[in-house]
Amino acid sequence: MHWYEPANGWTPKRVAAYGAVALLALGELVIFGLAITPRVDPGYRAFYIDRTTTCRDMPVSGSYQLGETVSFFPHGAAEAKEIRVCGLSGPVADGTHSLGTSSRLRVGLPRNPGPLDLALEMRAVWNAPQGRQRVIVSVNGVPAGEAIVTSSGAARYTFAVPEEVMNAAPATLEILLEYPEAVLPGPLLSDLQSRAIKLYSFALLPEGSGEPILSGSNGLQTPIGPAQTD
Amino acid sequence: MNLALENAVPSRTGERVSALVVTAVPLLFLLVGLVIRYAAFLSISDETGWSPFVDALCKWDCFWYIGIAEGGYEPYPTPDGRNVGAWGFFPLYPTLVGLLAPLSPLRTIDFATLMSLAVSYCACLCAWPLLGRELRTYTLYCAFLLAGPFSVYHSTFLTEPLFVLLTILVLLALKRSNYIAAAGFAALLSATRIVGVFMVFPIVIQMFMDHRRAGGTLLSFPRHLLGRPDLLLAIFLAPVGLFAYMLFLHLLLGDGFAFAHVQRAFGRTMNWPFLFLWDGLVSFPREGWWPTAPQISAVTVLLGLGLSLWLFFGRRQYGVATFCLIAIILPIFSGLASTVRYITALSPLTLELSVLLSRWRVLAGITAAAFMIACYFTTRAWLEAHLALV
Repeated sequence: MHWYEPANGWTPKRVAAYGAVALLALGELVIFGLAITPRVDPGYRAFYIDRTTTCRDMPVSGSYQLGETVSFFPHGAAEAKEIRVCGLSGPVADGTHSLGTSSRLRVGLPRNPGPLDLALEMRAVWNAPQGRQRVIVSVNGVPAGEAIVTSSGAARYTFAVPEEVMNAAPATLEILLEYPEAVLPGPLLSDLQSRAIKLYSFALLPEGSGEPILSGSNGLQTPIGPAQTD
Repeated sequence: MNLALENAVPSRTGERVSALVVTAVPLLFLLVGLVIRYAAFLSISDETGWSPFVDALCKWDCFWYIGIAEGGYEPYPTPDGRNVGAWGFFPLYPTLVGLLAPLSPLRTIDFATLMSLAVSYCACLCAWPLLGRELRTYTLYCAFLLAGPFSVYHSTFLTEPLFVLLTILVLLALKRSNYIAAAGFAALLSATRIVGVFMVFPIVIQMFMDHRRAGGTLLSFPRHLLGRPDLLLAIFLAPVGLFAYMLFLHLLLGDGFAFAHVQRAFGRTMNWPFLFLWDGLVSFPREGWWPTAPQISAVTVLLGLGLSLWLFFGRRQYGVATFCLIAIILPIFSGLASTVRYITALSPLTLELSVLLSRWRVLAGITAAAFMIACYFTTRAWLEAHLALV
């Protein structure tokens, strides 16, 4: 008769085997319990688990000289690298493409910079529905405005950095660009592969000091003409 | 003709095959396969020699495995800021290579390539009893694995060689109703690739079939299990590899399911398998007649499903058929990528295919020749990064 047969009764070998079963079962239950209650930072959770964002927070220096225009073409890659956080692909010959349903930029600020304008030069991807894309801009979580970006040509859009953001004297600005109408290049693809705009340049300027092609308050902006880089 | 779950039968021809022949046949195909793949490499490369050859064969996931073998798994956030981490790649094979390669003077990829060939050779030897000790069937299987169209997967740093070997070892142990051994190999299998954990189904189904043969019923099966600590041990031992990896991921990242969650970073999206299948089938080429990569993947899925159903209904191999069905269907919830590689590494299917195609001597001969000719062209396609072979 084999050692495991019930007819053997509670032999030491059978008891040890049941003990091993209990240990394995308990261990697996504990590990499963740990796995269904992940202890991760909010950025990890949002990107990998909840899938509420396509843009995962990454550490960048945010090094930026106030008033400087950062090019998102290949020749400005070194400067852009310091401020681009996620949701951007490139740079390539026609700028840096948005990737996913949002993009983020991070810029460091000097002390007391005063009121600021955010200037973004961009155009919609060629296959945007009706040739346009909505871009919703917020700074440090506060809405800064919305732009309708067209695929017919690049244009510069300016947004006043909200007063309540500047009143908080932030050391950095977290700029979020959201693309509610981003398009997927094909069926059955992940939202990570969706495209909306091509970013040409970025600048943070003292309020009113720039020459915005598109100016306005925190309202809807529409392009009035192509930028020089187009 | 038999597969793993049937009782051993003598050779169909009844002839005795010497151990020398059994060991020489896969060795021959191993060498032939190497020559064919090297010829394919030379046909598209200006370089010659072992290292350029091995480097050229290392594609796609191979780089991830080299990274794991040489540096382990990265923490979060990843040091280079990528969304993708290596967490989706199961640890057993790269860990083995990572432990053993430094003991040799070889580069990691050189060592891993040799190890893959050695592991695949062992898989052939272990398949001998599963193939009814039929030399013709065995020869065809060796030709398929070592010099066939998908032998390229067994000659670089991918997990397929170990996955195939461990699957065969599980089947072999089940054939002998050695559940603890089967569960031990299944535990290793579940640390090799995620679908390895589903080997627990053939184990439990085999237990039930044995119970039925002994006069038991479905209702008495739970009580039978509870009275047999060896069977319970086997059931809880089989997924240990997966649970060990989950614990490691929890300690590393705080997320035991990181292997699944990281799929998002690879652009994988979840949807119904039949949608992916249909999308693949209708992805017609824009020009020419040669099928597209999604079409090849979709047809491979259909063939894999068909062969699994044949195992289930035709061979009544309920356990392994269930395993194959899960191993085919589960990955295509996130698309058709890599399905050709996954399906051709399902040993129950390839063993059965060898049995079917070796039924007649002429058919077996033609098939073996076709395998070796296809080896040349699929190796070229692999080297040229054909997406169907990813």
